[in-house]
Amino acid sequence: MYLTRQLRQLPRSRLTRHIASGNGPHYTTAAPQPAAEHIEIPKRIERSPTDLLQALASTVGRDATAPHYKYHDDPFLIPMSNITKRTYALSKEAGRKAANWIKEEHRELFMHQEAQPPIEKFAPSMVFTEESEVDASSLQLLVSQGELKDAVLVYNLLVQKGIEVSDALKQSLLELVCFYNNEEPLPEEYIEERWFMQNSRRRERHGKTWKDGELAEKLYAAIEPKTPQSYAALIRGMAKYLQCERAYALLQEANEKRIQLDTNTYNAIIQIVSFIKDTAEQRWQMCTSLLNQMAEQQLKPNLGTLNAVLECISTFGNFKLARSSALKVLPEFKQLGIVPSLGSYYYLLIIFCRERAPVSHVIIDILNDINGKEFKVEHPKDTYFFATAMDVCRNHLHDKALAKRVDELLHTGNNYDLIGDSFKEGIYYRNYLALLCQTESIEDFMRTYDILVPNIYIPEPGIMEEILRAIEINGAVEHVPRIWSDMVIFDHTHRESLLLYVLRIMVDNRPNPELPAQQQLPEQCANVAWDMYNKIEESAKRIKKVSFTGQMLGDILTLLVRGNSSFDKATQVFTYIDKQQHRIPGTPADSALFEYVEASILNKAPSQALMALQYAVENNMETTPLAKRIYEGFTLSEVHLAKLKSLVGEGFLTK
Amino acid sequence: MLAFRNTQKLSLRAFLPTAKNVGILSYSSSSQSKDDDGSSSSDDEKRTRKQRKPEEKTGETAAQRLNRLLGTMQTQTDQLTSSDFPRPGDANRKRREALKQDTATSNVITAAKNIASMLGTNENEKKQTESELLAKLLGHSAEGGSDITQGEDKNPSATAADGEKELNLSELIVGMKIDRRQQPEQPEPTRSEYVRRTLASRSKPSGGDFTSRRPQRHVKREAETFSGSVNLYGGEPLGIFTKGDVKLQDSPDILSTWSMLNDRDLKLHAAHPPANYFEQMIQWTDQGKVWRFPIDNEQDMQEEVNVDFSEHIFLEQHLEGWCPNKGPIRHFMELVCVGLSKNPYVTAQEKKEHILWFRDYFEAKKDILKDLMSKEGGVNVKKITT
Repeated sequence: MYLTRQLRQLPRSRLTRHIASGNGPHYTTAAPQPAAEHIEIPKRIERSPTDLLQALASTVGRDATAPHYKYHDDPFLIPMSNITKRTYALSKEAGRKAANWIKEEHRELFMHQEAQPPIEKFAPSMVFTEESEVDASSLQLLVSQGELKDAVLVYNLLVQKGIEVSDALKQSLLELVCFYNNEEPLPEEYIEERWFMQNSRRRERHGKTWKDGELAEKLYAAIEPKTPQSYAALIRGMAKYLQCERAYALLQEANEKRIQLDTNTYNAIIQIVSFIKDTAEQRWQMCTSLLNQMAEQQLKPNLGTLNAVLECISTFGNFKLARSSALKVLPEFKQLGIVPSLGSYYYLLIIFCRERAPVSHVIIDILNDINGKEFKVEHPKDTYFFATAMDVCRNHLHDKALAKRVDELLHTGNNYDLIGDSFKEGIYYRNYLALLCQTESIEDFMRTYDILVPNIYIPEPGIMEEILRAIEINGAVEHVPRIWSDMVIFDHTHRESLLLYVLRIMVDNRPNPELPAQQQLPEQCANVAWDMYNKIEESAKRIKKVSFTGQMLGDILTLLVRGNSSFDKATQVFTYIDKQQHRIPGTPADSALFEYVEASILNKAPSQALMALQYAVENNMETTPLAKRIYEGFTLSEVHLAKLKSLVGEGFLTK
Repeated sequence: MLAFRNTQKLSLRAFLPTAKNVGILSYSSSSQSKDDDGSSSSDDEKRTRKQRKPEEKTGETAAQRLNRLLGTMQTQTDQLTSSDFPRPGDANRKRREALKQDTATSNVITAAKNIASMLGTNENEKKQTESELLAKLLGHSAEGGSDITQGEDKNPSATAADGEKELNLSELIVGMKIDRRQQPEQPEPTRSEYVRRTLASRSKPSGGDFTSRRPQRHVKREAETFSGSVNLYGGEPLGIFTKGDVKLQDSPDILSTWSMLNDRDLKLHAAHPPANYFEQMIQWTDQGKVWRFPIDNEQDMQEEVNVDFSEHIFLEQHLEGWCPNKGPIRHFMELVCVGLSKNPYVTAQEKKEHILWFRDYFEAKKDILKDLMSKEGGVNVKKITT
């Protein structure tokens, strides 16, 4: 800064720069230029402090092969399953919270001001107590910062001390209290917590949470005479926290007193029409009458009105009325020049695409309408669109092409910001992957799978099952080892149904050694089976344990036998089956035993084969083919022959 | 033997994908139509029909058929068209399509036969495998290749329902009105029967009767003119705000604090955990933890904003009028000025006060200084007092 000021006073010629023509419009130049070339100096564009950073950030795309930024501090700790991802992110946030707690708890350690200018975030926050010296200006500051708790405390102090609080300030405080329903909101900076919050606590609109007769209403009573603002604040607060009857009564009272309210207040009431009236017809009637009131008062509706009306319509049980009224509302607002937000389209989707109504293709028209557009968040429900749209694509229309269009829209510009939170993102990708694995060929699907999994999305067990089903249908057993290793990483190995499914696919689809892709497969399958065997055995110590069934062990045995070098392991598994046969429910399939006997013939292990036969005899399984095969396959020693005879009797040889 | 059966199954599966592709290829028009707005008749049309039907009771069989149709309605919406109007170029296309289809179907059949003869040992088993194979293949293609899993799951039960696949809505209604021909009283059609019928309907086109295929083929065309699509903005407006005599005024939010909080809330709705370092920096900048761009080392120094740098650096001016022009005090004060001019941590005002403090100090100690200096030689004393 000093330097530039000095430079300004230097002779101009020394500042001269030779610039390539048109290259540096930001530099003035006094160099002798041809007179004809007039350089237009553009007006300086005011940039906000983050504009430059935003421009830089927009150059960084999402790298599907890398974990998310928040996870990449230590490669060793990169989380690989949904639960660990959540734990990791929230632990990081918990660390931040702990630091914050220390800062507040031991504030005396942080009173020094090292930085110039001081960084307020790093200083302990002001603590207001009963003894604090306060005046109206500190209340003003707290309200403008949205510090609910402190603002309320300071207000109470002011009242106690008998300091006059101006009506404007009371009004601001009333708005603050109404907005948050006198409950401390989650601090802004806990972004991870907000990202994962709805996993556990789905914010459904259940019942009234408005605190009757508390601070908000006292504040409201303290404001005399009543202004439109005070009415509006209380109405909106009540509507937001579903004190519907009183909110509506207040609106009527305001109308009787000829108090002019504003559009947003009406929007709040329209939003809760469905809680006031029961049937679709009544709701629609009330909705239109409210709109008429607005028109009478010459209030121009806005996007909030459109969305509120659509929300009201979406609660109609009568889908015909819902559809027809939605189609009346849309052109109306179009004529008013109100551009719908993604939230409006979300409501359209839930109006048109219902389970108990005819299939509707409204999403096609919506996509035609908004293709390639970039959206900014304008309404709280904007973030619901993508998850719902993908849900419609999968469950309502079952249409791959549409799903791809939705996905394209999501990746246009900054639209990804509107995916919502981790919960909605999960729903979105769940539907997307499930749809793709049902409709695409397995190769195409695996390509998408490779991109999305595991860094962007990790399939839940249900989706894993869908994927396995797709693999089974396509007979693409070569993908099973890969999926299995993913399942291990994603912590799905305690799902018995999934384990059985994987085994069944591998057993039913005997690898074809002629295909190059499947040459390694018997080995790999044997490894998978062995891995699974160990995993299950290990899990016996855990709480969530999977227990063996005979079927499962039989499949594992089969797979081990098919692998070329895993006969020893197969023997180990069979010994386990044999020893634990009273604990394991069910028996291995006949085919499994037969394959095991075959393998023992190949490996010249007659005692193993006889053990299998013995097991078959003891468990009442079909023994004749086994015995025959053993008899034909081996040249049995006397001892073995005697055992064979003792097991199945002499008779079978003569058959 | 069991192991052997497994291999059979496997090789069947190995054939499946390719065979399925054939199916998709030859019936691409149908799957295409599904990708577009599948249902050919609009929702409303369907609904009215549904309502109309109960009025035209024509007896037991019709009711039964109706029930069956309603049962299958959900899955085969695309069959519900009744567009039998001839269109230009139809005949030609029909011929080509038929030819293509014929070869494809016959390919499929022969392939299936080959497999069956390869695998089967006795005659019965051969037939069984063949029919199973074909059922699977044609089942897929009938569903436009889009619903593999569901088709798979449903198959056993669906065969019965699909048995009368060519029976579409228009036919049904016609049937109810005019004739009560054959009773569809056959016991549940078996799988092989179903396959035969499907095959028959597929190969029919070569004979010229193309009704069963035609509706699907025309779906796309219809979608362009009239489809299940919804004209979002073309309807009759509500007419509350758009009446001629309503004058509307913009209604800005009358609650300033509320709207501020609302904006903040909205921003948080679209806020994500930072995805790269730049976003992290943005977050920190917004929280005021790092320097704001453009970097300016006078950032947030509100007190000094309007003070020129010269007042920080050229401090000798404050010596004028009280400090001797030379001598130890002058020397000392010049050093003080140099030191202060390099100090970025105090304001210009503080620097000035600092210098003036020295003035007052020397003034206060004048007597002592005089004494000291007179001992050393009275030269400088005069100058101090000036």
